[in-house]
Amino acid sequence: MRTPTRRQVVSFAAASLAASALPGCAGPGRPDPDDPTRSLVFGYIDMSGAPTPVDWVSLRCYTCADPRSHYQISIKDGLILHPAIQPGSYQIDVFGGSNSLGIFSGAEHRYNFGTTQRNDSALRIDRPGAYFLGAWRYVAQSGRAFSMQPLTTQSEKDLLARVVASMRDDQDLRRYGRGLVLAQQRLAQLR
Amino acid sequence: MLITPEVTSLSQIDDRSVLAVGRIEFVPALQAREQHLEMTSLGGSLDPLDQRKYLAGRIALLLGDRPVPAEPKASDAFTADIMNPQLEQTFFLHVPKRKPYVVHGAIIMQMTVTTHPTNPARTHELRIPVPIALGLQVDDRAVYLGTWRFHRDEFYSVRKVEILDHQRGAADEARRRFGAEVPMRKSLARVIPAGTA
Repeated sequence: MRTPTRRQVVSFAAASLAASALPGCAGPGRPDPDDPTRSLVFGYIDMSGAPTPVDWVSLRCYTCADPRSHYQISIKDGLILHPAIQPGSYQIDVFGGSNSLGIFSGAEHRYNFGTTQRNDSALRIDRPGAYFLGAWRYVAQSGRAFSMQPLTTQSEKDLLARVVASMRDDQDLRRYGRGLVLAQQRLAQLR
Repeated sequence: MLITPEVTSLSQIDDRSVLAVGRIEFVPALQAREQHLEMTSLGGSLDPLDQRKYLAGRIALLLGDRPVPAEPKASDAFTADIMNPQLEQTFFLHVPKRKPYVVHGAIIMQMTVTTHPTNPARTHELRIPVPIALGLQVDDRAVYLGTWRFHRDEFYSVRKVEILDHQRGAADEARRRFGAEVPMRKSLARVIPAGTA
């Protein structure tokens, strides 16, 4: 089993009144639910051992024209899900969350998943499909250090079943019919 | 922090230093559009301290006296020796003999500056495998370190390293630069495998 890389909590700062959390994401191009070139991407992070839950991950594009291009993906109950990612090479570079209480935000944490080389979440999306980033558990170490350990209790198949259920139940995701089809096709392959 | 200077005259070399000649390449070569360097929290092209010149198209190599990888620290600000060669060009640098190892090497691919008190600069880096032994000897005056060719993928990872001998071409460039033959001892750099230093 690969030794988890030691990582650092990048920043920890108190924030002021937070804007309401919006579902969805921003990235290189507005997601078109009918674009046949786009793919569904999913993953999972267990932050039960962390100072904060995780609210978002940044999925960075390494082959886009603008080197800053990334998708900022909201997370629900640990599930990372974006139904319409453009082709390219991606990996999670940072993720974060806050100890918010209602409309009052708490301390904002930003975690470095990997900004210096290829990490465990690296994906090359070269054809439409459903792509699994991976599943990890946050493990605190000394000081601000932490590691992300591969999580074997959340398989690709289990998470894909959750993805399919989410896409059927969630009002915002329901319009991504192509993404649902991609997820169902992949789930059928795994059975 | 001392950026080891370019050598323009052989009189710059004394008993404690050596003229280091070599070249660093990446496959594929680094394109200017791949680096996004914001030098202030205001972003854009502002560069009031003229720092971008050390980052654009260049690699920073932290030198050390032991073959142990090291992360740059704030305390290095006054003591570090850093080679800062332009990529894809032969370099002629003044290097201290007492620090014959590269202990950290990186290209800053993306940098944004924030107003955060403890994390002001956020960077994405392409790092090279270290430590690298330069093989400097006490009697050296000029050494040829080789062409360091790093094969990379799109995730800023080095997948393969080649250390190539192009000394003849380097000697020709040295002759043109200094106006005379420059005897160089061949000391091809060596990447030390992890756990063997």
